[in-house]
Amino acid sequence: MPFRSATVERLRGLALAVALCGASTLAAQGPHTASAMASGAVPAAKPGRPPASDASVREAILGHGPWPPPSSPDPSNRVAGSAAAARFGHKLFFDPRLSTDGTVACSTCHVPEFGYTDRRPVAVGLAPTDRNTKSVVDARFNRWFGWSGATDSLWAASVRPLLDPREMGSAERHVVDRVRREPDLASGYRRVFGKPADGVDDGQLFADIGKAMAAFQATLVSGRSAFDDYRDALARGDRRAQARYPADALRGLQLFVGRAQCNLCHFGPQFTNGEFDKVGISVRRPDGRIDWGRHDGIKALQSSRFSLLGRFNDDPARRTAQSTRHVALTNEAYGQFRVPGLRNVARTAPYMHDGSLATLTDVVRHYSTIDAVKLHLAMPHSHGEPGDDLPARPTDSVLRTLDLDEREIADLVAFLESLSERRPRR
Amino acid sequence: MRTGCTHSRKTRAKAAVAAAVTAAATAFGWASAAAAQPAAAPAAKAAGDCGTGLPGGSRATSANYTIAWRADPQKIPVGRHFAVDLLVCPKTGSAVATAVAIDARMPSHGHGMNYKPTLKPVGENRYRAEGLMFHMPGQWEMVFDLRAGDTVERATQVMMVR
Repeated sequence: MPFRSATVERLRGLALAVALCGASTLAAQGPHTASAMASGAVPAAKPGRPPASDASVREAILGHGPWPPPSSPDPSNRVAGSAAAARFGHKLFFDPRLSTDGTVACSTCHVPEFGYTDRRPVAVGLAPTDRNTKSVVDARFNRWFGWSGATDSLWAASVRPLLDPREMGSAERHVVDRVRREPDLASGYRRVFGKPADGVDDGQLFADIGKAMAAFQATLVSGRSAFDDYRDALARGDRRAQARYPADALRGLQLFVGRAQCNLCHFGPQFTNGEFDKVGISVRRPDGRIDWGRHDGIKALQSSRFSLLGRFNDDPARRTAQSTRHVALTNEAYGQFRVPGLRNVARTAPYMHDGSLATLTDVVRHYSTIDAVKLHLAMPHSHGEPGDDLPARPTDSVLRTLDLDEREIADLVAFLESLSERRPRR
Repeated sequence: MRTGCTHSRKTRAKAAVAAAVTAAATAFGWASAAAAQPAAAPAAKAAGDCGTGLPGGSRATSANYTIAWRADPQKIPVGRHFAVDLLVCPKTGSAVATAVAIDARMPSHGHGMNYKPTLKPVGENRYRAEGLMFHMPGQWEMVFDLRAGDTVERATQVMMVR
């Protein structure tokens, strides 16, 4: 990037603010409103510190909090919120006896010191898998779990790896037999669920093991970050506290909710819409096979007896099963992967579903240079009008070549780093 | 909401209509009317009356129908499920719709929803759709398909969602 003078910087800041106002005014019109863009006075920007004074920019930023958000125990898990279940689940999470050969635990890949990931491109249990390890911190807020959303509850997500031949390689019978026969596990189960494991059928016991592990993982909520302090200071109008937020992170934040439009998918307090998309990462595995992502995830979900539509859901009203009930297996799902939340993202390298991008800088560069045309060509359309021979061609895209300069890339990375909790968990 | 973006697809050649019905039925979940319907709407069911039963709602129109609809909750939350209550009013002299379907899409992005709503009749010309979700902010288009006999007609309505 060529060196810029202070004047150019001012102009650039102003242009950025204009861009932000355009995008966010559009967003601020609310539902059921016309789509006219309002133009308005743009506050002057000090070099290096664009203001977040515009109401719509402010609103976009405030939408990423507060943190932590209010939450309640998962109604599909009758031991959610139980301290005893969380203790038992913690024990199970770190216990390799549930794997087929007694060598792999959940914590083999979800390493606390690494933000409950493993710092590998792809997870390695009994053998290398195809996908990067997602952190389980903040997983309690998810709608879907894993890169493909093959599970719809934290407890179902907790038992899935037990059966994967490349992860823990176990069988349902092996797992439940372990819990029934190992005295410490059997007593732990009885303490949490109020009855002996011997008196429970295999399927229910297997699901209960997941529910105890889910009760533990639900306690893993990321701590507050520098961004949260800035966001709350903005909410209460505390300019002094706002000023403590690093200038580069603030510029990155303004890009995030502005020209880069990252917040179209990474929105809300978790910085994700919880859904799935294609972002230009290859679906071809090293061995040549294709990872169809969400499409396979939906198929796995719909054939699972541990989904929220099955008998192991403890909520007779199925209040959290709406997404499972309505999820659509469409061609669009081919090659989609879940939009990850961004809290603590600086601590969970490498990135993307296949771990192919080593650093946050690599990720930002990827989006900066993404080939939108290729993405469009690869995009199937299933929503043409009845009788139409050809689908409508998209005129816009969430993903477009951003052509960020080096400072903008660094600013976005600084913003992403500001999403790290202040005290790393152990 | 912008109401000027509605348009209709009216009867084509019969074979094309049949194909359209098949395609739409595959893409959407059709809900049939709750009871036997008269062949044509009486004056009392004129489209001008549609919507009075859904305060705070919106309207979409096609050549032969007005659809009054209201989201539940009324302010559609991005990234969360919502429902839609519908009142389908044939214009005077038009055939009553015997089946209705609902969907939504982001035309400029070339994708639809990740969820397939279910639609149930809840009274004369009234329906309730469950399970819709707008998974990102921006311009969405509600799509209403109405079937009467061999014809399928479509009304759409564009809205900005944040």
